[in-house]
Amino acid sequence: MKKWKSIFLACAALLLITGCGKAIYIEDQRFIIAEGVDFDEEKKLVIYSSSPVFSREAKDKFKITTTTADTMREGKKKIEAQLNGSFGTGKLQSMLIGKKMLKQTNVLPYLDVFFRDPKNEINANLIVVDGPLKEVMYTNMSDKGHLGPVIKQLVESTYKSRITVQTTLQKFHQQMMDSALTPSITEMRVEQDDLVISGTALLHRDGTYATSLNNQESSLLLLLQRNTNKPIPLTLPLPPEMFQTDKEVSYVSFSINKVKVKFKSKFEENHFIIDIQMKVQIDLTERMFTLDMEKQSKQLEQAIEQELKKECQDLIKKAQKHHVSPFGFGLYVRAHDHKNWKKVEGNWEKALSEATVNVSPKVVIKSMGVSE
Amino acid sequence: MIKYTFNQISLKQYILIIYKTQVGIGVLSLPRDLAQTGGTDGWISLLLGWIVSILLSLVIIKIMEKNPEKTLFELLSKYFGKWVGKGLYVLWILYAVFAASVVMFSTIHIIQIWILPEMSNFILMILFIIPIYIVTKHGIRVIGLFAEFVFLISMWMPILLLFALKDTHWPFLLPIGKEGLFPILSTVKSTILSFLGFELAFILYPFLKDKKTATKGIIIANSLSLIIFLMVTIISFVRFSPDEIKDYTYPTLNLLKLIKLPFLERLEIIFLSFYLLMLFMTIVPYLYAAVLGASQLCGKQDHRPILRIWMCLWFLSSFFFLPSATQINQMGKSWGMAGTYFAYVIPMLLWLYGQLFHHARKEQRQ
Repeated sequence: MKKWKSIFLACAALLLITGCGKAIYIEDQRFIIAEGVDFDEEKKLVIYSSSPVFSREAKDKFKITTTTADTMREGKKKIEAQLNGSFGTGKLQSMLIGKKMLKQTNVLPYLDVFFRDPKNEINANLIVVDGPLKEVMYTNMSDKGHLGPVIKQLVESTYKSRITVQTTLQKFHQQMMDSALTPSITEMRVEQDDLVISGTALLHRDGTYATSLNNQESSLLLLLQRNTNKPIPLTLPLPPEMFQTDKEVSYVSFSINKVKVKFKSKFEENHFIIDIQMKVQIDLTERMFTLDMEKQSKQLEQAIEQELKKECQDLIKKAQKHHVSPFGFGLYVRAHDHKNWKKVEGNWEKALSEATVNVSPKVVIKSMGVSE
Repeated sequence: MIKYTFNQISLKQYILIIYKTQVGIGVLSLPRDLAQTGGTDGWISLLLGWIVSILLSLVIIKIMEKNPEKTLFELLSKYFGKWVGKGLYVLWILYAVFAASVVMFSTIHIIQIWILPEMSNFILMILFIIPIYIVTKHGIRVIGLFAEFVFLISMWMPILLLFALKDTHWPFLLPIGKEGLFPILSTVKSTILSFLGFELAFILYPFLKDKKTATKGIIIANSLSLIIFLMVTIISFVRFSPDEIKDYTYPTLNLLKLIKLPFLERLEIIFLSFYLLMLFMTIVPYLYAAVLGASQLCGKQDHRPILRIWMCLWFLSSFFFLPSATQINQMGKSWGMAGTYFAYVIPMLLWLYGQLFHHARKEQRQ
């Protein structure tokens, strides 16, 4: 009898558990999947948002709303006024920021709501939009699908194929906070009614826009950041006279599988000398000219070395020119050369821009591919 | 004569009660507290804090060993006479009550900001009081069982944290000891709050079945806590940069926010719901220590009437005492301060006094 009583009580208690809150139907919910923000002419925020429509009667599968506000949180309130159904921001996947806004201001304060309100998602990807944001939000999606998932897939797949970085809101927060690093963010633009990831946008220490990298430079950026969890594919032009070919076919493509980096820094006469020795293991994937691999593979390695060195140096020079340090060299100096780091702490970008940086890659061809 | 024959705890329970009391509210903000003064060397301070807390635990056990079968109350009366002993005991009770209340209000606060922003204080208070009362009512044996239960049910939590080991940057920890010894030493202070809980050995010792194992038990308990603390701290340090971590109030929860499972969002809600049990397991032992003390002081066997009174007080206070985030912080800090005295300074003094006391007694006898 007593046993039955306790079982009965337990069941009653279990029934009550489901009773907290009422059922929520997905048709009545609005999830913001992608959100965009930019300045208008008067430096007010223009906020766009894209949310899927679950209603059966509706013809469109997602809805774009736009509003102007002074802060992101205020914008949410105004968007709520336009959307039917209760509203959730926790599903955010992409946060788009107009370049116009980035050029004028530091966006971190505007994004504060994401870090303060625990209901918001901080794993959303941050993307810089080159050109008007409106174009992105209203691109023709008839052959692609919902705007939100399309952007997410685009960013993730391009990151996987190593032609841009992937920066979540949390990563951006970290890059802004860390004195040894400046932010690098995925850049996107609209080309002929298609969304295109055009490379990487680099920001200054104060959070304003500095410069952009194209896809090739972005790959090299990942290489210098030592972000080599996935192979980095590169295509390099080689000097045609070296292998007696024409200029049109003097290209070689390979993917970098493994990189070993030796990092050394010295502080002499008020400026840094940074030596980066990279041991790069590559797999050849494309070679458009004929070559006797047995005899000339050493020569090919050297040619790739030179070209890789040149391109890395150019990228670093570009960063130095704009006073940015997206590579994370500062992290190394801080970790391994703390005494000298102390001398330039708080002013690392300037120190890096005056530093001499030598990149010396050592290329080893691991695989030639399956054809001779 | 053994006073607590029907109310004994095994070594396992003794370990788990202390361990679960230590791993509570402190862990949620620990990485930030360490980073603020110690930078990325904070984890070394943790090791030092562990050594200090083990030493003090041993001191406590030594004090209790000298007077087996005596509770802290009897011990204080023996050492200092009836009235001074009582006065000291009241202080200890107040400390325990304060600790329990700090954790209680912090728990309500955390649940409010992370999960239920619209829920009012008193509803949460009622909901929390019910299980706490049920566990504390039955005394130390049930608390021991509850500790075992909480331990079993929270085994998956540290493993879950390993999911956050993505996009880490280990050189953040380098160079070790970058700012020299002083910041590391001064950060040991911040670890005190986390390691608080071992001072409950004062109360638990008389209940322990096999008293010889007390030393071993308390070392295991402290070390278990250290493992959890180190894990949380190091994962937070390599995942967030040392500069960023200072920006989060509860870095441990932010760590959970970063874990993305394909079928689940806002993992921290589920985590916190289970973590509630861990927080209760911090509240319950302190509460029991206080209530037991108060009933001993009144000369009563039954601790339940006082427990009921205290539950009512908590419930009533939830109507007009609505602490803000700053106040919660302040309360945590004062608990740390009080803990420094009650868990670190007083045991030392008590031990020294005890040495002298027993020495004097011996000479008298001769």
